[in-house]
This record gives sequence, structure tokens and C-alpha cells, in this order.
Amino acid sequence: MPADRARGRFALWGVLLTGILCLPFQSLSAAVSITDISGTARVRRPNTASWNQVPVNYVLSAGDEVKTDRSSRVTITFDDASRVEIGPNSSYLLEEAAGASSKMSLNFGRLKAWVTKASSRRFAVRTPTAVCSVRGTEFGVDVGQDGRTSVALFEGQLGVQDNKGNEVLLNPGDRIDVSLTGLGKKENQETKKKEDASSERATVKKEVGLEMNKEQVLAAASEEIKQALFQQGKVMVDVNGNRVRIEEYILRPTPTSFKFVVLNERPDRFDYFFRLGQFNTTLPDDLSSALRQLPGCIGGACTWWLTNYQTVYSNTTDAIVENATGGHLVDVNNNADNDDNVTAAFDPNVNSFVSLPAGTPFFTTLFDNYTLKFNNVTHNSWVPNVAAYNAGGCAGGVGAACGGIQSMGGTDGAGDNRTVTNVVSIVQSPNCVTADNCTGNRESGKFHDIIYRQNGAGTIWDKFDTYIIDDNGKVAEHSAFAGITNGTEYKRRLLDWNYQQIMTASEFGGRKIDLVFEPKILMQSGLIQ
Amino acid sequence: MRTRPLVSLLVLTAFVSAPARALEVVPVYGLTFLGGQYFFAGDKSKLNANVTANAAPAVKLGGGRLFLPLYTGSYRGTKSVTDSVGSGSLFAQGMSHRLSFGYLRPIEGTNWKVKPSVSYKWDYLKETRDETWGKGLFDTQTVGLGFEAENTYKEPFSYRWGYDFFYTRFPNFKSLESKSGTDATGNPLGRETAGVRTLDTLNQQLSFSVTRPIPYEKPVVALTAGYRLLWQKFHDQPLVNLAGQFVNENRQDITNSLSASVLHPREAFGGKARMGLGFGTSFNYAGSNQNTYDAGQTHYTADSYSNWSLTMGPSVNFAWGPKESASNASAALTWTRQSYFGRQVQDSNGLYQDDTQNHDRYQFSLGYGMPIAANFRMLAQANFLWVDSNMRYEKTYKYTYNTANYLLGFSYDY
Repeated sequence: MPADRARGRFALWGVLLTGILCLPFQSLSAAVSITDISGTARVRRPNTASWNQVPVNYVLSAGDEVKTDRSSRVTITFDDASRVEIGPNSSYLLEEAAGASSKMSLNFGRLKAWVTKASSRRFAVRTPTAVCSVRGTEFGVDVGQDGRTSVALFEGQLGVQDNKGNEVLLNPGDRIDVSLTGLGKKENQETKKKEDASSERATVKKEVGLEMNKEQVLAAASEEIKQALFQQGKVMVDVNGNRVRIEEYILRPTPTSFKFVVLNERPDRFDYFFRLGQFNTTLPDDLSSALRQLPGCIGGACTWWLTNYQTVYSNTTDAIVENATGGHLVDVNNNADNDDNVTAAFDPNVNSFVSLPAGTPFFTTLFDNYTLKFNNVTHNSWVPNVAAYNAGGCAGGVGAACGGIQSMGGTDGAGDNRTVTNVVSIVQSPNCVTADNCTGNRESGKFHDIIYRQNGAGTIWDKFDTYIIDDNGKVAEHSAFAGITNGTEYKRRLLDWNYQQIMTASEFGGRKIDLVFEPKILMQSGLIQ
Repeated sequence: MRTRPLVSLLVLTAFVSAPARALEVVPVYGLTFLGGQYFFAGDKSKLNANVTANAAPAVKLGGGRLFLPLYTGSYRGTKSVTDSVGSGSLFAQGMSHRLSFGYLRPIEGTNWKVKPSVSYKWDYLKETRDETWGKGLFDTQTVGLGFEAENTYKEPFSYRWGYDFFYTRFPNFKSLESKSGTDATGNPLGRETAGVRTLDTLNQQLSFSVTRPIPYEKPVVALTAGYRLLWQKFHDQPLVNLAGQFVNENRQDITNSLSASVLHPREAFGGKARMGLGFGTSFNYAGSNQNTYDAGQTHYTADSYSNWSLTMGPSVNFAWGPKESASNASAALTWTRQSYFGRQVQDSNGLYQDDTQNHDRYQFSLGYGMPIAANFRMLAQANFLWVDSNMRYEKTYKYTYNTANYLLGFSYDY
């Protein structure tokens, strides 16, 4: 769009010009003619009222006025090849075009002038607020309706003077605004361009900054989601420095049963543990009151106890399955067998282990039948002694007369009402073949312990490699437990740590089951008492 | 995530509306390289680097219109003091790449500018030794659509409205329960109603912010204030009930944020330096319909996520030398109190108590910058964080701790 471009150039380089450069004029009579018209131009002769449309090559005389409308443009050429281009909506007056000077005025609108360098003629443009004259220069003038004028100089030098006589010399690239109050600040086009570029860059930088700030706010929402998982203990690091995801939840298969599930995931493996328990009666909606009684009840009989359970550890390929049936309550501290007395137990009211004075009733569940199998191969089992089973009557479902085995017996087997079959037995020093296949502490001063069991020929074996770790996978030092490695205080301190158990057996073909637990889960499940 | 058509559409729209002439590009680039260490609980991380880069080759389309492609990337080897201190506290590396396309258009005859934009962000995290780039558990991908309208009523002061829609996906995170299958006895391990992508969220955000000189004609301070309403829908995270079972309704969170800050610029040291005194505050209210069930403790917590937080603190910045190449030193202190409505505290053994959780964070930051060559600045930062809480159970997450980090390096800004 040439018109747009020309308008743009005029707008950009609009000017008020008051400069004066004088040179001897060589010719006293100069021909001035309209050499190009775009649109419509009208001329009014001096002392006449009518405006007449003019053709190209119309010769202008001193005192002629030229007007252009909103889409017109007129080029006026002087005999020395200097020329003036009058922009749209402009009012131009040729004041003098003879002798040594060419004088003209621009009442409003825009013009651009190219003054021949070789000419010695004085060339002046007057506006309502300024006068400028020039030699050998290319410049533009823009006059607003209020007389405000803008001057831009493209080549040569130009003096610009306001109505008060103040004058400034413009160099190529300079522009200045002049109003009735005087000269404005001279600006250089190149400097202005740089400032504009800097302003544009600042705009872009501002937008970049805003975009990045907004992004930070949105990213914070994702961080909050992640943090909640950390706080809930669903993400930990294991002893090998690998991330373990943990999910724990409870299923309610029937009104009298629950299934406690722990899932572990690492990038290359998935392990799980669950304990499915069948209770003696219907469970409440809030399971906590029933599960709190699983480790046993201090001082009185439990309301809820397990009649059978199944515990499974698996890596989805191999499985350790523990089944127990025939569960019934026994006050082990007041039964006939002193070897099964409990001196410390988990008290859910304080969420910790407490010591039990001698004779304190402690009711726990004993199971008549039990099997522990590794990939369906039995390593341990028991059945009740027939003679001890269902001996006597039963009152209220509780007590020695209610049937079932009444004692687990002690380590010496005294009072044991079961017939126990242990296919494997613990291997301890000095009978160990290697340190890794030896029951005992594996890392001196740290809670890394091994239980290794095998049959006589060593063809059937299992191994439990246990670590107590913090949430960063760091193995606990004995010093963190004040050197206490068993008993009530040990169990109390254990609650503050995590429990990683790596299990394998002769039936697993070199594979392992690797689970990280909260010790509290084992207590809730009745596995730690 | 079908983002390509969206991006293409915006690019196409921007260029189709541009006049057929040579496009002028206003390039803006930035690079920051900082090396440092992170300290937590008496341990320190290895020396590592943090790098951020951005490139915005803005295209002038005439009439003040701007097409703004923006790439921002970062690598983080040294943790920020405000990062989570859960597992793997010291070892954490992050990398992000974000691409956005914005179109800035002034509305002729007004002070308004409108800016639609689309963006896509990849966020990678390596927090444990076994995680590799792209396989991090908490990697995220976010696609966003945004619209902003800004009225610059008095340069450089403005007010702006914004709407953003974004979808955040954790590509490597599915609930374990949904992946558990059947157990060794052939029974299902998980619940039928368990969600799969439990962390993915659909988000919508409305925002308003304003900067204003006070007093209006001869400003003494600059006020910045804003309000933000964020709605997050966890479309695959069912609610948990009292029995620890899922119900047929999903989690939704709504966060309201109100913030305000003032900045008072003035001369210091007899005019030899410029000083900016600031004070900022913000208030957040986050409401959620989700509850939690702690299976380990068989404890149900209603309204577990809803909380409010209040942040406030002063800041000061000194700058000296020419404005284009000034040196500066800054300090800032912030205090944040976060309080949960339903989340109960636990004692050191994990036993739930009646009180709900409160957390206090005090952060102190120091910064120094000095020009060392054209467009280059040397930077030094140090940050200290003190966190205190009434939560005493810290087996899986630390609630009372101190952290610190320091970073040294340079920035390039073009």
C-alpha cells in the first residue's frame, strides 16, 4: 500500500521547520510547476475566492494556494530541480518564487522537501509556529490543526526556529517538535530507534517474566500434590537407595473379615503383603476398635479375635503363605503354662509397648492349626495334640475349657499342646557356611540381621534378611536405639523406623521377595506382639 | 495429549493475520548458571549446578501486535530450601522444558491488550538412584490454554484479568492398587473402585492483578495486588469414607489466593545508591472434599487437605552504578503459617491427637549481583529456612527442620 507507506513516512518524519540557510540566488525568475498529482488538487489565485482543480504541469505563481484532500498528494518542482511533496489534507501557499529565494508556508498538513544541493537559492518554509530555511537538504514537515509542527531531517543540516526566535540546528536523523510555546526536545532518529527497540525488548521481557511467574504458580500446585504423598509415607527409599512406593489399605470382603494389604513398587519389581483375617463376630464400620485388639488384650478378654487368618508375602511369582485356623482366646499369663507368659505388650491406648506386671491378664489368640509354605512347600506346621484338644466344657467362648490348644509352650517345649513339625531349623554360628547364610547380626553396630534356616541336608532352606531403616534408606545404628536390641523398649523405638525384609528360599530359584513395611502394620496385623 | 493441533492453530492464526512483509524479530534470551550445595539435618549435598535458560524470539506483526514464542528450560542439581524434605532429601535433580506461544494484540483506541496463549511443559525429576530422566515417579506433563487482558492505564501500571485451563498428568504414576491384580490365592488385591491416575488433575484458574502508584499522581510507593481462584479436579481419585473404602465421587480442590505487596523506591547513601523497600503478604484458602484413611493406624481423617496459609515479610534491595549495569544486593525475610482444618497432629509414636496441624516457616534470603561484562552478571545467593510444626510424627516426613543452600554463578541477559 504505497499510500499507507507514504502516510507512514509523513507521520513518522513530520516536522516543524524553522531554519534558515541563505545563498545567493542565480536566477531572479524561477518557474514553479505542479509536476505530479495523485487524487485531486485545487488552487486559488491571489485575491480570488474560487478554488479550481488543476492539472499536471500547472505553473504556480507567487501567492497561489494549493489544497489537497484526504487522499491527494501533489508534487511541486522548482527550476533548480528542488521539489516539494505536499501530503493529504494539507494547505500550502507559495509566497515567493523569484530571485534568490523560494518561500512558502504550510498552514496545516504535511510536506516533504528535497532541496538541490547545488542550488544557491534560499529555500524557506513557514508554519504557524516556525520558519525554516535550508540548502541542500531533505526534510519533512508536519503541521497539525493547532499549528504544532514536527520536523524531521534526513540529509544535510537544518536550522529550526520557533516564534520566539529560539533556534536549533538539526543534523541528519534528528527530529523536533515545535509548538506555540516553543521548541521541543531534539531527538535523533537512530537514538529513537534504539530506544524503541529497547522498549520493545522491555515489553517482551515483561511478558516473559509474567509467563514464568504464572508457570511457577501452576507448578506449585503439582508440588503440593507430591508433598502430600511424602507426608503420608507413600514414598520412601529402600536400603539400596531405590525408591519404594508403598500403598496400604484395608478391604472388607465380608462383615466378619478384613484384608490388610501392603503394596510395594520399585521400577523393576512389585511385591505385596496381605493378611486376611476372619473374626469371631461382625466387625464395626470403624475397624480400629477391632484391629486394636489383634495384638492381644491387656486386663480382660477381647471383644474381637481372629478365628483364622492367612498371610501372604509375594513378588507376584513366588509366595510365602501362612495359614492358621482354629483361633481362640487364651489368657496366656494365667494358663497352666508359665513359659508362654507375656511380660510386655503393645497397648493401643498409648500406641506403644508397655510392661505387664506378673499375673496381669493378657488374652491372645492361639491357633490350633498352622502351616508356613514357600511356593507350596511346607517349612513349618503344627496340629493340636489330640489329647489336649477339646478338653472340658466351655463358658462364654473364653478360657481353658473352651477347647483348642491352650498353650504355645516355651522354648523347652514344656506345656506345649501342639505337635510341631519344623522342616527347617535355624542355622547359627559356628555351623554357618557363609556369613550371608548365618543367623545373627550381619553388620556390626547396625540393625541388619539375618535369620537363616535349613533342613539337615541343606536342600530346603529359607532366609529372612531384615533391615531397620529410616525414610531415606539409611540403616539404623544400634546407638539410635541406645544399644537396646530387644525387649519392650526396642519395640517402642522400632515404631519410629521402617522395616525392610528381603525373603528368599530354596524354592524361589534365586528370586527374592523384598518388602518395606511400617512396623506398626506388623503390630496391627498381630505379627509383632 | 493432543497438543500439536492447538499449537499449530495458534501459530497459523498469528501468521495468517500478519501482513505479507518481512517479519521483524525482537529476540530476548537469558541464561543463568549457578553452582552450589544444599544442607539438611547436618548433611550436605555434593556440589551441583542449577541452570535456567529462556529464549523468546518475539515477532513483531505490526500495529503493536506481537507473536511470542517462549522456551524456558531448567536443570536443577541443588535443591531449593523450599523443596519437600521427604525421602531422598539430599539427592534430587530436576529438569524442565516448557514451550509456549502467545499472541499479544493491542485493542486500537484503548489501553487494552489481549493475549491468548498455549503451552506445554515437561517436568522431569530424579529423586532416587534408580530413577532415570523420563522415568521419575513424579514427572509431570502439563498442557495449558490461557487468555489474558491487560489495561495499561498509566505506564508502567496496569491491571490484568486472566483465565487458564491446564491439564497436569503424572505419566509414570498410577495407583499401586490399580496395578495389583490378583493375589497368590487368586483373589483380587485391590478394590474395584480404586482410581488409576489418582494424581492427574484438570485445572481452571481465574486471576486478577493490579499494579497502582500511590499517590496516583506523584507515586511514593507502587502497590501490586492480585486474586487467584484455582479449581482442581482429580478426575480419577475417589473419595475415602470413614471405613477406609472408596465412594463414587472424586476429589475436587478449590484454592483462593489473595496477595498484596508494596515497593517504595528511594535514594540511599546520599544518592550513591538506589534502594527499594518492599513488604508483601498473601493469604491462601485451599478447600478440598477429600479425606484420608491411615491404614497403619486405622485412623480416618475427615477434610484432610483443606487448609489456610498466611505469608508476609519485608524485603530490601540496594542498587548502585549506572542503571543499565547496576550492582545490587538484596535481603528478604518471609514468615508463613499454614494451618489445616482437619488434619490431626500425631505424637512421636504416630498416635493421633485432637489438635490439627500448624506449620510455621521462616525463610531468609540474601542476594548479590554485579556486572562482569556486557550482558553478564555475577550472582551469589544464600537461602535459609527454619520450619516448625506441632506435628511430632516424623518417620516418613520431616516437619521440624532447618535447611540452607548457597549458589554462585553468573547470568547472561540479552
